[in-house]
Parts: sequence; structure tokens; C-alpha cells
Amino acid sequence: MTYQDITCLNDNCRLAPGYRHTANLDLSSLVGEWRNTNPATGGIAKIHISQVQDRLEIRVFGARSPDLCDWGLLPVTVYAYEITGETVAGFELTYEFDDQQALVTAIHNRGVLVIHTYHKFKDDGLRTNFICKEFFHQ
Amino acid sequence: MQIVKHDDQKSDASALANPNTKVDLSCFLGTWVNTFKDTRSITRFVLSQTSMGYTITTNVSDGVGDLGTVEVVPFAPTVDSTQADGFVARYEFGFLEMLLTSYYTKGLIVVSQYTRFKDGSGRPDYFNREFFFKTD
Repeated sequence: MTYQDITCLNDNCRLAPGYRHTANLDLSSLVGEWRNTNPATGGIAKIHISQVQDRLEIRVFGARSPDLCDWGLLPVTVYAYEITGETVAGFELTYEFDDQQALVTAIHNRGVLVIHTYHKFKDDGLRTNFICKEFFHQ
Repeated sequence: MQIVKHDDQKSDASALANPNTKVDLSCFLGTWVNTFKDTRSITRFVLSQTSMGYTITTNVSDGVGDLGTVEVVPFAPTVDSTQADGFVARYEFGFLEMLLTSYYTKGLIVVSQYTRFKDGSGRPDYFNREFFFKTD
């Protein structure tokens, strides 16, 4: 069997009998400004999330003295918690900078946005690829 | 050197003490099994090292079973360290893309799975997170 012959990789990709897809995922729980729970962070200080029709756009602000570093406004890929798509789980996107790529993943749970950022440097030979795990509240 | 946040900066002392920037994933090599036996997703995965770098081979419940082997990019906990704290891998199947991100904590590897459908089936992209322990 080849991957072209199939539409499901595993059981999670399959909708259980009696369930149906939700037409539109409710994104409202993610919209707004999210601030790092650690005000002294050296990572991401805050992010802005806005909804444009059925999509989300985010703007990340890195903590960098003396001012914040605006990473720019980008659309994200939004993910549901289940294949039925009733509850939004979070999003991911990748920022491309001159000398690094930053994969930002965010999951929302009980009012906290948990963000993991995977920094991959473009062969500057100076810095190690690293993960940054942080928590945000509204 | 572009700095997009404070933590991007490596200290001069650290750079002199440890000029190596390659992240070492060797302590995670081997087979990792899902803590949840009845998972509907990834049942186990194997991390390996080749001459080209690190790879992951993933098995899922039902469906195709073996997803095959792809490259793994390891990540350290800070810009100064070289011991892996997690990894990222990406499976591309045409109709579906699966991003795996992970980190290590307390003997477990926590894997977040971001599944994106590209086949126009109307299935929403979805997320799930699972926990794996080492067996060998």
C-alpha cells in the first residue's frame, strides 16, 4: 500500500461514527494580547493575536533591551483538539530571520497559552539550536 | 549576528569555553513507547543516528502502521548548551503533513503532533500530545 492510496494515517484521522466536522472552529478564545507570566523573560515578552475572517494572525514581540523586538505580523496554521474540530487547541508558524528560523508552537489550556519556540540557526557556527518554553496569560 | 530576543545571545565566556554548536541527541537514542496503550495515534518511535545525523522512525495505531523514517533536528535547552532537550521532525505524505515537536522531562519525551490535511477533505487540522518512555 502506498500513501497515495490512503486518507488516514492512524485512528485519530478518522471521524468516529455519529460524529461530524464542525463547520468553523471558534477562534475567539485565542484573540487578544497575551503577556509572558515571567516579566523578566529573555524570550518572548508578549504576542498579539487577531482574527481575520476564519484565520488568525499573530505578532510576536521578543524581549530585547532597551525595546521589544517586533518579529512581524504573520498568519498561522490553527489546530483543533480533535478531528471533529469543536475546540481550538492552538497554532504554529515559522518566522524566517536573516540568520535563524523560529518555529513557534502554541497550545491553549485553561487560560494559559503555552508557547514553545524552536530556534534553528543558519550555520553561524556560534549558537546552538535551542528550545524556549514559556507561559502567557491575557 | 541578528538578535530577535535577549536569550539568543551567547555569552563570550561560554563561546570560548564551548565552541561546539552541534546538539547531541545520543542520550535519547533508542525505542520510546507511548505511556497510553490505547492511543489512537503514535504507539512508539525509534531515534537513531546515521552518518548524516539523527532520524526518527514512527509507528501509529491501525492505519498504515509504520510511517517511515525522517530526519530529526535536535534542540538544546539554551543557546549555550549542546545536550539535547528535544527535537523536531516533519512527515510529508502529500494529502497530509505531520509536524512533531518534542521535549524531554522527568524520563519522558513529550511529543506534540500537529496534523495538517491538504486533501480538501474538510477535516480540520488537529493537535494532540502524548508521552513516551524509553524501553532500551
